[in-house]
Amino acid sequence: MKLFLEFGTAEDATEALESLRAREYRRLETYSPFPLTDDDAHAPRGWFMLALPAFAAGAVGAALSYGIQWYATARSYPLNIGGRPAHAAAAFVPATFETMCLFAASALFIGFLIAERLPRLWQPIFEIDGFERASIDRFWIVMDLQSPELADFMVEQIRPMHPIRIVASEDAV
Amino acid sequence: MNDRAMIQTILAPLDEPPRLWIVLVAVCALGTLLWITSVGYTLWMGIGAWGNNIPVAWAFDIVNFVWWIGIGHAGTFISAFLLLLNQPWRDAVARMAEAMTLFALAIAASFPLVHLGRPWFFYWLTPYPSTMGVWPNFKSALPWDVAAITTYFLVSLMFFYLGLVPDLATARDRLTGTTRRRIYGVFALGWNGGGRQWRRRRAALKMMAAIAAALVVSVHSIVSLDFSIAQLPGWHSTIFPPYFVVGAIYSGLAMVLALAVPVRAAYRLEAVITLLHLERLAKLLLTIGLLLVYCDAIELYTAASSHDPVERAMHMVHWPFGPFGWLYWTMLALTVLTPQLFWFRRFRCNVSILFGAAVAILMGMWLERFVIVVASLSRGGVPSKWHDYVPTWVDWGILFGSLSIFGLFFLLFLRFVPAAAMGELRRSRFEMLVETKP
Repeated sequence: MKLFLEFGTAEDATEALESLRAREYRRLETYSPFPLTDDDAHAPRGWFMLALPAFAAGAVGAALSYGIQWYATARSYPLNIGGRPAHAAAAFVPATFETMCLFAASALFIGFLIAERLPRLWQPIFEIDGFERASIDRFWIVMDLQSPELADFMVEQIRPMHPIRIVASEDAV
Repeated sequence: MNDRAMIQTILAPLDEPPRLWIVLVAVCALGTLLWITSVGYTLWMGIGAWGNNIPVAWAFDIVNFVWWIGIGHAGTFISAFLLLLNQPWRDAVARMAEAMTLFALAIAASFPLVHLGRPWFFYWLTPYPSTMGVWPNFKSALPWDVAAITTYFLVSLMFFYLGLVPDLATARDRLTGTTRRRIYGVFALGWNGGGRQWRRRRAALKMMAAIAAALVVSVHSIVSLDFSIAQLPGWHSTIFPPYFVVGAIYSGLAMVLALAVPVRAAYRLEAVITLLHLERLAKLLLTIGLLLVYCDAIELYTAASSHDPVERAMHMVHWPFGPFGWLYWTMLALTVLTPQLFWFRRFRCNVSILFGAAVAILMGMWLERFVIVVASLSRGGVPSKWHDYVPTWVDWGILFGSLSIFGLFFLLFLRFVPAAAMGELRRSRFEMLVETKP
């Protein structure tokens, strides 16, 4: 059982969110045209799960790039150009660095898509009438209620918070 | 300006572009034809169609390449550095600067490709197991360039796209017309504006910004190594990597200003890109301009105190008083004197002067690359090897053609992509409202 609360302004939505949180409701998610809470806007936490694969990918990229350069220049087909060493570590640094950056950034991009399971052009939540305005000028708070009996009580609680609409849905959205 | 008006202003060009748009597209399309003709002629005749010949083996192609790559640096500088430094004012111009970066990089890459002579063999630059058994020479700067530019382009593209997704979702939900909404919908990937999505996107963007910031510094450093690992006087200098990075950001910021001023007027974005934003860009331009003056001075000082007579002659005689001396002095006037206007608020807040100064700086930076490349090559150590350089119509055609392609890409960007990050702009506005609330 989920309750979908639609608000007309960000101020109303943040006030409602704060008061619901103050009442110890934890299973809340917001949908809004811009990040609604400070946490969402500035991302002080939650970056570690993305940083770890990015770091690993960067390390793999660097090793791969250096390995290819070493193999090509020092092992597979060493060329003597002006007596320079075949395994010229300093000359391998630029491409190694660039490949490291490419792999790490790609891991962040792909990691974001995987974490958010995107692209997912249709999602059940899009079926809610008027939800498309969540990307324009409406602010939604979705409450996950564990039991349907709570619904009527919650609606009474929420009404003074000035929602435009309250939609209750049984579907697992 | 309230949120509704902001969305309206930013999305309006997607519905109906200003009347001037189609005229500019036509002009740029003509210029693009010129580019196609010039490049086609080059491919047909070989690179002998260009004015460069030994000893001036590199000329317009590499000058244009370095100039365009430099312009491509401001986008990431504004996006990445200023994002890391928590400068919310960047949001107004960041999207445009990022798009500019992508187009400039794509155009820049075309110059060395055509200069290969047989560009259809460009993949020889990448390490792949070929039947010939040979590999690229990784001890040369050219494969470094390939790695640097490919990486920079792809990372900039991912950064740009990740920043763009929420605005594409707004376009998907706000615009009319089923086909159009479907297209924006596909590109929006199913963004739903969830708090978790915003948070993860921000985290990913911030970390990408940290990587991109390192790239800004490294890419033009690597480009500068094309020159500085060669032994030619005028090129063989350790100041080159920082010198090139500073020059790149300088010309890139100038291009941002040169684009932002007309775009905000034509698209009525004065309330999104305010005078304050332009003034800050002007201040940045002045700062970077002073850094460039410092690099110029150090370069000259190093040459003057050098014990290499050829090196000294290059900087003291050939550059200032050689056949391209007048370009050298024009370059100094344009790059050193122009930004000094921005000490004064009066000039920083005058859009015509901002635009004029930005164009002057862009021309000056092109001349600077020309002096470094052509003036140095045409006057080597042995006087019997001295040879002057005159560009052909093909050289000019490719230069002006590349400007037109850039214009065309940029106009298409303005037509089909929301030109500013609405999510971030509205968040900043919301924070301001909350702070000023009694």
